[in-house]
Amino acid sequence: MSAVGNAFVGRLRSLVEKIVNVNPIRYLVNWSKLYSLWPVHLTTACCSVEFGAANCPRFDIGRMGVAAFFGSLRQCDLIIIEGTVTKKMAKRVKKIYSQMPSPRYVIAMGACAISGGLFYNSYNIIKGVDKILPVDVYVPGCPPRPEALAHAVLLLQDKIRKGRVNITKGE
Amino acid sequence: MNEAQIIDELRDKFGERIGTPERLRQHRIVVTVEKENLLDLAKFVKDTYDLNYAISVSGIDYPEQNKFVVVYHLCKMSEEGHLPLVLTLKVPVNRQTPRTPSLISIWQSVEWHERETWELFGIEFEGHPKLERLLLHEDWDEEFPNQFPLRKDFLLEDE
Amino acid sequence: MYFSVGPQHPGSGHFRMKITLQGDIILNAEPDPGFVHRSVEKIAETREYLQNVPLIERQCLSDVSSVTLAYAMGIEELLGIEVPPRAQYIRVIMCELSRIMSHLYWLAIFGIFLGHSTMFMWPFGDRDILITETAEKIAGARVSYSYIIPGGVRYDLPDGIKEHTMKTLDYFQGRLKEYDAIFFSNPIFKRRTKGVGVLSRSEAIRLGVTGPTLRGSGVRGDIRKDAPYAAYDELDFEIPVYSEGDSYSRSLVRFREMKISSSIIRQAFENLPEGDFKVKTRKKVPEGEVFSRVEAARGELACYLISDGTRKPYRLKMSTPSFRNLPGFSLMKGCMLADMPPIYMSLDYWPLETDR
Repeated sequence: MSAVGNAFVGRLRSLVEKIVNVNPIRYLVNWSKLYSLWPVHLTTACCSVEFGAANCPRFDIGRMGVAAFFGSLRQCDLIIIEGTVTKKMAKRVKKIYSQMPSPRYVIAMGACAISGGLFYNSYNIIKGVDKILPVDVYVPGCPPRPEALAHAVLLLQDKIRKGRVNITKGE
Repeated sequence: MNEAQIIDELRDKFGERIGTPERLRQHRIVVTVEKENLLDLAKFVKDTYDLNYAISVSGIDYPEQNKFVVVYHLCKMSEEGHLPLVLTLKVPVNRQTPRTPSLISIWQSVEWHERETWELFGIEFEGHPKLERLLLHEDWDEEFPNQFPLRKDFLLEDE
Repeated sequence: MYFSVGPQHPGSGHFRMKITLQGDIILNAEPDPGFVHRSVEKIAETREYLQNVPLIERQCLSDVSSVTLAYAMGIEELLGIEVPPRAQYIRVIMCELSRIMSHLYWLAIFGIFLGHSTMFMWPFGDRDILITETAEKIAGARVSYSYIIPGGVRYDLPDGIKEHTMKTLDYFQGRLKEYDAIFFSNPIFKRRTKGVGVLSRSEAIRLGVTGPTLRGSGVRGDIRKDAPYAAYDELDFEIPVYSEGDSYSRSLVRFREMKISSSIIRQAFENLPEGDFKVKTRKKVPEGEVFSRVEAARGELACYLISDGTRKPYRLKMSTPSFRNLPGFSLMKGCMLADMPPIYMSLDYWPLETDR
């Protein structure tokens, strides 16, 4: 699966894939993905406080094209894991990720989402969300400042622009 | 209600059936009671001192003494606010057969607290209407069969 | 019909409600917590007393000061040390700043829940520019400042903080009037919350709810007045109480508390004594048990600490306000589905605090 998703089938699909992989068109396709990163509203733990602050007037990651509080996850292409993922939540995270349309990107926010953080020896958490999802950008901090999250969005956009994003094969 | 009075009254009324009521500091009284006498004592303190508000229910594990202790913290709430007095009921429970009567018939508010204590300590509350999974994940029984996380013999990774 | 709200739902966060519907009427609403159960109480038994401060404050990141204060008070009581008066006043300042921060957060989410997106932007913006910045100047971090530690506070107040805070609070007073005009006096807000989710006084006590939920039902229950801690007994403030018991009165309690909290901060700065801000503590805490209570933003928070004389707690139990407000979800029974958001928000439920 590349940039075209499931829109085309059969020979048409291989044809389209060939076309979008040619350089100027590939650049355009990547560019068009940059400024519409709509995050799923999924809060997994306490970093949501800073995620909320990042969306609001002072830091306003909306100006980078991140429209938060957008209703349906079928229209979202970014999932920000805000903090610890517990075992109970991990199941739901996987389910939510599988419902998102491709291409989709993952930002792991906070020390807990990266490696378990303060709760590293807890019996009920997943040590790092990269054990269950392919992560594109990690944001360290406990919790990270909103500026750090904004920087992560910029890094992700840079990655998309250069076409280096981790897109999972298959659905 | 004076704290010394409460202690005297509890001692007179229950005598040998409860441990000696102890005053930890101002506003804190601790009473140890066996589970057979728990319901009587709970009814008595609720009716006499109007302790109508249960703050918390906790469990403590003492593996050396082969017992759990269930701790109820009670206080009085009137229209004008809390009474600063907190009465603590301690109920020792055998570690092999952890069962104790539920106080839900006396204080409705202990429902969720007892459910949490049941889940994390494995203490059975007799008469509780709904002892179901609350905080732990659905596959807990497959991952850690017959284990209860807050018991002392449940070890974390780096211990 | 049966459906679940959350954990992926705008606003609900890390929490799920199992709702049974008949037509448009909610037959049963059962909360399903546990999505953020990170076993703080178990981990706390493996770490030293001071190391636990950042750990336990993660359970309520919008109101960190009260959580750490309850824990610090417990340890101080076991150690038998007296905290210097200056530290007590600084603690009051931080607790009230946290309270305002937490209520502004609640107000913002309430706004977005009812589709009032201006009310989402304003409090969040003010929270960042006014309150978080002040807290950052004092404690050095935006939200998770492990500032209150056993024995006092970590640093003294910086120079010029009094003027900064007073200026901030002056501006904040003006903003509160605007909030009132745009939100609390808004006829749509009133119609969506008045008479919705009524909790009577006797029922509130029977269910054991706490904090603004209790005070919205006509009970003057506030630990700051009833069993004063820190420097609250030397300050003059009132407790807002409304007797209707509906979502509107619960909201008004929080709204008026913000104003009262700013007046408490002013008084604390005016009366701030000179002297030490910290005393030395020992790492080993003597054997014993302690039950300390504080009034956090969401209600009474109690810390039950048992020490066996070592460097680590034997058992630490946090009895948190959100956990005790869980029975409040039964208020949704018999209401319309559209009444679910106002009732849910008026309880000011914070899932992390419940799950710990």
